[in-house]
This record gives sequence, C-alpha cells and structure tokens, in this order.
Amino acid sequence: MTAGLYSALALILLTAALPVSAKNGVEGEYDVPTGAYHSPLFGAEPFTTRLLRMEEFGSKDLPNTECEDCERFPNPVNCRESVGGYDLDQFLAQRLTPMPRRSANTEEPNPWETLIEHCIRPLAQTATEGRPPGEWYAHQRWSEMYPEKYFQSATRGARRNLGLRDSYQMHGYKVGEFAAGGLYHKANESGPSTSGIEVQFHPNMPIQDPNSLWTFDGTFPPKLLMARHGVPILFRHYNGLPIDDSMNYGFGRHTLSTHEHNGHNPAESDGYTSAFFFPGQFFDYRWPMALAGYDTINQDASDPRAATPDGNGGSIQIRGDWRETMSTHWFHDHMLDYTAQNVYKGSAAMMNYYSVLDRGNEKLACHYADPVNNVNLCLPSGDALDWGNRDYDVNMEIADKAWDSSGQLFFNMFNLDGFLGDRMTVNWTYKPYLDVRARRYRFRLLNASVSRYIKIAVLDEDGNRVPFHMVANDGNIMEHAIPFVGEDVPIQSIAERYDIVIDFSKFEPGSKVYFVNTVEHEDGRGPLETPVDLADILDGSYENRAPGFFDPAVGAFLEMRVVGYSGTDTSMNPELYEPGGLKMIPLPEFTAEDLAGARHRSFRFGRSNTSDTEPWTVQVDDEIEGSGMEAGKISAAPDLGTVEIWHLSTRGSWSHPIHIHFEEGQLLTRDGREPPIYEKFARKDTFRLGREAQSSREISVALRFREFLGSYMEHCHNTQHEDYAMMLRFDAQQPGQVLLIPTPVPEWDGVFYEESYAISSAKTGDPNLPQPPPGVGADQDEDGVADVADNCKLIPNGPLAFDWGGNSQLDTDSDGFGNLCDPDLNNDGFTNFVDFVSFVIAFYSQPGQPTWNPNADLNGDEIVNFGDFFSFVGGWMRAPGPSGLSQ
Amino acid sequence: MDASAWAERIVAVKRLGRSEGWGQGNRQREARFFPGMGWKSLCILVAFILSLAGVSSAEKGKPWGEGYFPDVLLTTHEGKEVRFYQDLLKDKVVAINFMFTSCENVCPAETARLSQVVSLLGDRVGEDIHFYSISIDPEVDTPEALARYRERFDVGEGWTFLTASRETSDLIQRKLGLLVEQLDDPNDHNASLVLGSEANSRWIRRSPYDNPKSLAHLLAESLQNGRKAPRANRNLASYADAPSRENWDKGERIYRSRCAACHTIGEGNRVGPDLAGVTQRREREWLVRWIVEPDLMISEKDPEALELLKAWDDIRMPNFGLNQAEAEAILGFIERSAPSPSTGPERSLSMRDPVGH
Repeated sequence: MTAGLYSALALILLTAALPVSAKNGVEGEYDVPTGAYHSPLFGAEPFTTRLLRMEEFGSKDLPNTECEDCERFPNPVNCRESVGGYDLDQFLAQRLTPMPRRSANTEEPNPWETLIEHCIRPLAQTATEGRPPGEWYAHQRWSEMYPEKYFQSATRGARRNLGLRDSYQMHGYKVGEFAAGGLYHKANESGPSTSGIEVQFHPNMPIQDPNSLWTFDGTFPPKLLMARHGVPILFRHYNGLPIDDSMNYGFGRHTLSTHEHNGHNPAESDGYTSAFFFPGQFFDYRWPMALAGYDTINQDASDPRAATPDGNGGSIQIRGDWRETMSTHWFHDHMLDYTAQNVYKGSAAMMNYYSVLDRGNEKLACHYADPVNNVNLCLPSGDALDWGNRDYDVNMEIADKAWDSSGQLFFNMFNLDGFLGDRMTVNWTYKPYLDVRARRYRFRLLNASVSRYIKIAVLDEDGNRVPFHMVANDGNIMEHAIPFVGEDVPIQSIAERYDIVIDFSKFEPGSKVYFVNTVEHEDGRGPLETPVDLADILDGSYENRAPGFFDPAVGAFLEMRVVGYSGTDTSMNPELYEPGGLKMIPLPEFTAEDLAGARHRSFRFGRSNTSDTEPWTVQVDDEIEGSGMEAGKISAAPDLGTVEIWHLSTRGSWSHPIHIHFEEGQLLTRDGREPPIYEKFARKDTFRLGREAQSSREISVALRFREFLGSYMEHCHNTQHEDYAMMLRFDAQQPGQVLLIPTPVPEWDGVFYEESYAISSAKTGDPNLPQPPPGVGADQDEDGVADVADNCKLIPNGPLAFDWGGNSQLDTDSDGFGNLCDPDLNNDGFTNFVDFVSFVIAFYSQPGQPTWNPNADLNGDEIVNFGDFFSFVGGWMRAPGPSGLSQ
Repeated sequence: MDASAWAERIVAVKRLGRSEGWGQGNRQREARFFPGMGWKSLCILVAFILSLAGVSSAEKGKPWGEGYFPDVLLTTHEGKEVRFYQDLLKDKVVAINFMFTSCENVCPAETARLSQVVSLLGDRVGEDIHFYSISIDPEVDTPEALARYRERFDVGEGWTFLTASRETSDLIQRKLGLLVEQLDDPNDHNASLVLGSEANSRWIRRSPYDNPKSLAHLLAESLQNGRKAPRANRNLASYADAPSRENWDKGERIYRSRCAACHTIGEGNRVGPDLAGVTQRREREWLVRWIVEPDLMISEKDPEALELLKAWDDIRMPNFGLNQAEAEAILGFIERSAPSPSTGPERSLSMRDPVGH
C-alpha cells in the first residue's frame, strides 16, 4: 500500500509539476528513456548466463510435386491463442504444402476461415496466401529464378522450444565447436538440442507470455537463415498469431509483412508495407539470391569469383557481378504503422549470405595463400563443413529492451520521439557472456533496436581498448579491412550491421574482454552528440551523476571469456587486407560517365515547412511540403539500368538513419566531404543523418537500379519515426513504363487494390538539380511511350497524350512513323506539295467514301479535317518523325 | 585508466545492479521539485489520488487502459460533462486531435480534412467510430464557442468537440505523446491525429493531412479488426481492372492536399465556395495573392476578402505558406478541371511484364 501510494504520488507530482523534460509515462516513473518503471532484474546479474547462439532455420530442397497426404496449417484452439506449439512443429516437419505458385494462391481458402468467421464475421471469400493476388505481386522471373530451396516458419506467441530444428542445424552438433566437447555443443542446459529452451531474457527472469513476444516458431534461440548466393530460396511465412487482435499485451499488430533487409529482391518479396497478411495465411517470399548485375555483367557465368559453394569443396559459377557479393543481412517485419512494435516484439531474424568469397570456411584454398588463383577470403569461421561454419563466426543481434514489473516485454507507443529500452540484450539475452577460444573471431554486429544508437568499445579487464578490424559494413565485405587500434567501433544506428574481427590469441585463458556501449540517449530523437567519456563509465562516475539522469544502457553489455585454443588458426589475418594491402572485395565502380549521367533526387527528412509541422515527414525534390507515408503515392520512379544520385538531408536536431530498399548505395559525400574510410570502401543500405559524432546532416549516395521491378521503400529506420510516417514509396520501373503498380489493401476477405499516383518529379528527378539529357528510357514528349518505342518521339501520341479518337501510336502505312508526325503521304521521305495534293484530295473524307485516305487522317479521328491540317502544316517541308522505330 | 578500478567496477556493477543507482537519481529529482509545487498542482494531486484510488493496478497485459488514461472531466460542445477514459475511450475506436477555435491556419484546415474522413465514414461515425477534437484554449473555447465552430464546419453527429482546463488538456496531450513542451505559439501545437482502439490496445499516430481514404480505412477496418463487412463494391478480381493514373502535377497535388478539404470544383459549396470558374469571376492577381497571403489581406481589410469572410461564417482561408508559382499552379489545375463532358483520355492497360518470364 505504501509503495502504491508512493508511486501514485510520484505520478501526480511528476505529471503536474515536472517541467520540460517530463515525458508521458506509465505507472509512475518519468524522465527516463522508457517512459516507465525501470525493468526489474529479478536478481539477475550481468554476465551470468550464456549468449544464445542463433538457431538455424535450416533449408530443404523444394519438392517437385504436391504432397497428397500432407495436412494444412493447423487451427488454433480458439481466437485468442496462437497456433498450438506441438501442432505447429508437426506441421512444419512435413513437406511444403501446397506447392508455391507464381501468383498468389487465392484458390484455396484461409485454413482458419471457419474460426475467423466465428469470431469476426462471415467473409465473402478468403485466400490461403496473403500475397496480393494476380499479376502485380506475382513472382518476377519465376521460372528463371525458381526456388531450389525452401524453409518455412510461423510467427506465433512465445513458447518452449521442442527441438524441432535440432536436425536442421548444418553442424548437426557433431562437428567443430558444436561437437561434443566443443564450446557450443550444449545448446540447452544438458546437451546438443534447443529442446526445453524457454523464451526468457535470463534464467532468473519470468518466461514470456505468448501475448508479450511474437517470433518465428515462437521459440528461442532467435533464428538465423543460412543461404547461398545463386540458390534461390523460398520463405513460406505463416501467420500463426491470434485472430483476436487484442491478445497483444499492449502492443503489436497481428498482421505481418516481411522485409529481407538489403536483399536484391523483386518487390513482391521485399515486404512492401501495405502488402501484409493475416492470421491463418501464409506469404511466399522468394529471394533469388542473385548477384546484382545479373542482366548485364558476367552473363555467361565465366568469372570464378562469381560463384557459390557446391557443398563438396567445389564451386558453381553464377551470373552477375562478383563485387556485389553480400554477407550479413537480417529480415524483419515491415507492417504499416506497426513496424516498431512488431520488430521489437520479436519479428526479426538474421540471415547470412554465403558465396565462394565469403564461404564460412577458413581453410579451403585461402585467398591470402594464393591471391591470384584462390578466391576464398577465409574469414574466421571453422573448417569442418564445406560452407557455413559458425564455430568462430558469431551473429549478434544487439537491442535495448524494457519489461514491466512482472517481467513481460514492454513497449510504449506514446513515446512519439522514439522508444528506448533500459536493458541491453544480445540475442535477446540480458547481458550475457560468451566463451571464446584464444584465436580470431568474426562477430556480425546488428543493431536491432527501435530507436537506440550504440557505439561499442572493446575493452580488456584493465579497461584498455582491444584492437580489431572492421571487415564488412552493412553486411557487405569492404575493399579493405579497416584497423581500429585505440579506437571504438563507429557509431551504429538502427539496422546497421558491422562485421568485425577480433584476435583473442594474445589473451591468456581465463581473461575477459567486454563490449561496452558508450552512446547515451536522453530520448528517442537521437543520441547525444558526443559519446560518454570512457573514463567516466569505467570509474563509475557516469552512473553516479547527481542529481539525476543517466542512461542505463550505457556500459558493459557482453563479456567474452577466453578459453584455450589448441588448433591452428588458418583464418585470414585482416592486417594483410588493410588499405594498401590485399583487397577483399573491390567496390563495384561508378564511372565518371555513370555519375555524370545520373538522375538526381533530393529527400529532406524532418519537419515540413508549411502548415503540417510534424517532425516525421519526407520532402521530395521540389515538393512544397513534406508529407507522411502514403502507400499509394510514388515519390520516385527510377528506371532499371540507370544510375541515380540521391541527396538525403535533415535540418532539425533529430537523428535519422535512412534505409533505402532494394539497391545498396555508395556514399559519395558527407556534408560535402569525403566519407570516412570505413564508409568509403563500403556498399551501404542504411545512412546516418544527424548531428551525432561520425554522421552528417547531408549525404549523397550513388545507386544503380537493376534486375527487378515494383514498389519499394525508403525510410527512417528509427522505426518509431518510420511508423509516424517518415517513409516513402519508390517504384523501380522499366524504361518507358507508364503503368503505375496499384496499391494493395489487405483485409480478412483478401487483398484489394487501390490506384496509385506519382508526384510530378517521380520520373524526372529534382528540377532544381542538374539532370541528365534524355537517354534510354526517356520519353521526351511525355506521352507515355518511351522514345525508343515511340513512333513519334517529339509529338505526344501515346496513352498519356490527348487522344483524338482512341488511336495512340496510329501508323496506318506501317512505315514506323506515327500518323501524327507522318504527313509524308507518298512515303518519299519528305513532306512537300505532292503530299499536300494528296491531302487536299482526301480533305473532309470519312471512311467508306471514295476519297478516304487513312494515311491523311493524321490524328486518327476518322475524318480528315482541319485538325489534321494543323498537324500536316507542322511537318511541312520536313522528313517525317522523328520516330524511335524508324530513322 | 587504473586497471584495478575497472576490474572493481565490473564487480560493482554485478553487485549493485544498475537499477538501484538509476532509481535513486530519480528520487532525488522528485524531492527537488516537491517544494516548488503550486496550489493548482496540489489540487490536481488530490484529484489524482482520488481517481487512482479505484485503480489499484492495471489489468494484466493491458497497460493502455484504465491505469494509463486519466479519467479526467471534460465538457462537450453541448455542455455535457464527460470523463476521458470511461466515457470517451473505453471500448471505443477513436480519432483524437487538439485544436482551438481562434486558430487561423492549422486548425480550420485540419478540421476540414477530418470532415472529409467523417463524410467517407458516413453513419458509422458516432456508432462505432468516435471523433474528438479537444480544445487547448479553455478560456476562449467555451462549449458555446465550440458549438458555433462545429456548426460552421457542418459537422454531423459522432464528432464531439470538447473543452477542459489547461491542466487537463495538457495531461491528455502528454499521455497521448502529443504535448509540446514550452509552447510559445499555440499555432505550433502538435497537430497530429491519434487513432486508437482502447479495447485492443492499438494506438497509432497519423497526420490529419494523410489521405482521407486511408484514414477512413484505418478507422473502419483495421482498428476494428475487420469486424464490419467492408463496402459491397469491393471485388477481389478488381486488380485486373486497376487503371494506371496520370502523374499528378504540382497544381493538382497541392490542390488535393490543401484545397480539396474545403473546396470543390463544380461539385458545390462546402466549407468554402465552389471554385469552378473562379478564375473568370475574379482577377488573377487578386486570386494569387489570396492564395499566398490571405491572412495579410484580411488584416489589411481588403474589401473582397472581408466580404468573403462574412459570407463564409468567419472561416478564414488559411495561409499555407505557398508561393506565387504554386498559387499559379493551383489556378492552372482549377482551370483544367472545370467540369466538361469529356472524360479524358482512355488509358491502355497491359500487365506488368518484368524483365521477362
């Protein structure tokens, strides 16, 4: 009672009397990042439980035929629960059923139809697949990039792991450090299985309620997809969440859309924010795993560096640009208005791309041993398997979380500035430890927070900085390994991935190394401009600041315990690959010509400058105002095959990590200057904008659009900012494309479409910036037919032009010149008096009359009159055309 | 760095747990502010203890309900007293924004935009969807003032305008995450729209300038978990007929996002006059200026401006910060859109054919 009264008092006091910095809050605690009570620890101390190694989804060969006796997705027992855990495991263990289709499977009903009708309302129709139906969201290049492998999972509420995927782990708990006696053999407390692992942040802490945390299979450890370049893979994602949307413990929406972050994927599989699916349904995401440049570079697959492991120590050569090889990705929910809540709630997994360059094998024909003939970079990993060894290659999903007084995951959507948790977790475990051998390790660091930036100092027990190399930025291996000696990992905004290599060989067994976060937040708008002084963290003065505020996520969050190593470390020594030394993966170049011919666009993130003063808008090109996300509004429409330069900026004091889907970019400038070396050698997909250290207010990024079409997004990856509208749609288009892909509107009854529209500069770029002269894809008369296909290039006679009689592109004499620009009636290549005589003869004739001459009906209105005369005069004493079809 | 200090620090962190230091920090701050409390705050304090007495703990797994939203008193435009949580939020799907009637720019535009949403929703407003506009200017915005304002916008049933003490409206704004600290100019208040479903713990922020159709869909469909059947004309096969649409030029875009809330072109008067033929009725130069700086023209007592103001119930044409070129673009669009028998060019439709399958 006293405590209750005290907190009630605190609430009143703070809401009523606290000035400026008071935030909206819950249950009586204010002025701290979460907007709630601090998350209780239940006696859990830092570094007392192991880091969970991620569990592989495991992929299987796609079957060739329908399974005759396979069960359909099982029903939950009622509308308030997820699909049953045991039932789900039974279902997932059987073959894929039904077989995937090019366009959405809307013939079979939602298997939960009866239950949905019971709890929601009678439905006119339902579909088993939630992918928008028909051609618009059909898989592009389906037969050409038909999936060889598949994996399936259902997102559902938290539950105990029953060991479903034990046998799907590539290491099988039988080799390397995963074998008996190895460091990571015991996945659960007793042995080589994840069976029995509960969804909890620490063994001392309560098990998560199914409504609190939603994730793949509903189980821990968090999941990892191992996939190879050149092997198209299908992810059948079932929605196993409760039909009743109030069963969410206060946050999260039970509809899903899955974005494979940084994948070079066709739009229908990119997780467009309004292409979401409902409980009971699945969505087939097909990720081609193609190297960018597939259509234009190395088309005969003759370059041995563009290749994928064959599983037996050899390689299979594939098409595309080997310099576009990718490595560390993640996939996560992208649900319109609820991305922050759903990702935070557990809808996120990591994904490693493997290739002959980044094979996950540190021994097989290493590049450093013979840089001319060998291609395998031999990053720290292991050597028991042909590819995909994870013995010394650790995925780390770093995120801040908060939980309520009962220990259940907590989110405050009313923190509109951005949501911060007060507890640091790695792979969903509160401040874990990890046993490491005294040798080189690769850590794949992902910042999976909602709004929190991190900056990691790697320290030994004496507080000294441990040197390391950064080898990949945003999951892409850089040209060179960048040494960090006496320095910290660069600041890492939300969704950025940094792969670093640390050498523990100089440490004695028993010694410890720490990851220490030095970036401080007072709110979700962005980090404070300068990181906390490490000395203040180490001597404790940071958290003893009086009076008041400190950010509890600052400080050590991961302990690595060095264990002796008796093997031989054959992994690459990153020192060999430092600038000036060997190259890992050279940057795909943008030539001077590419850049000179690039289309320029500008995107300003922040407050709009007119009456809508919201801080969450994007202003594109010469738009007079910023605006929020609108699913049907196309703000940019880059043509395939072209290079564009996007200028991103912010004016305000907030920080925005901007993520561009589909194509990764190369940073040209930061505030007009050359970017730092770890960004200069990088292909990036997330770009920091803000006033924090190592960032800038303005950047220019070069992008090349290739291979796939459709609706993608660009947005702030502070997902609270994204959900509050800091997002836009861009459509990758065919040159000359006039159709706008409509906008899906999913409902229980199926997905409907609404019309889309494009802003005036969507095709042309920012009119206030220099733009390239018309080239391939240009449509100079803006009639909707690209110059190359337009039989009147300069006179509008396409679908966008005023149409006299429904005859766009009319060419009655079939000479390649449209009638509207072809008064050369005798086809002698010039319009003169001879043609005029023919025209006069036909004047005022209509079809059927003896004087009718269809070639003289220039505008196609089935009468030769003054309308045609004006067009005739326009071509007087000239050659017909110009036409894109005939010269 | 002293080696032993850092090692000790690690130990100390383990021993103490970080939460303790943190909690202390906050208590110190509370103590500091306690003596500075004014009598008003004390009154609220007492009111709060009373209101919280009945709320010992929030329902498990439902943090955004009774324990979170204050059950404070507000007065409707009809003079009725209502409680924020019990009467306005509980078990309802709601759209809430903040405004004040003397607001010259933002609010009329917002109100007009929302009225578009309301008219799309039809008779569901007041039935299972509730609109609340809460005044942040209690001194001026009496229930009568709100009723008058409401009438001017021709607002139907189900959209309630409310007024409350400044402390109450601040508290509600804070709880919804919309309070702008140290608000110097009330025109800069947070114009966001909060949409939510209390029963389902679903809350999102939107802008009143969002596409009215998408706002209507959120309220009628998404936030209701689809419990009401969608409109009958929905057809799953319709994708095949989805037309492509011409790019909106600048004039159309501005018109649609800014003007269309109050005006039509040839479909009759709404909050403001029908604009069909307006370029023939008035001088171009006057029109451009009226679009660019209507507030200045009113304060300069331009006779035509005053006449309009009088004819249209004192609803001011807002200053949207447009420039002359933009005003010209709007006028160009209005001229092009004048009603005519022609329905415009037919568009050929072929399916998307990606790089080749």
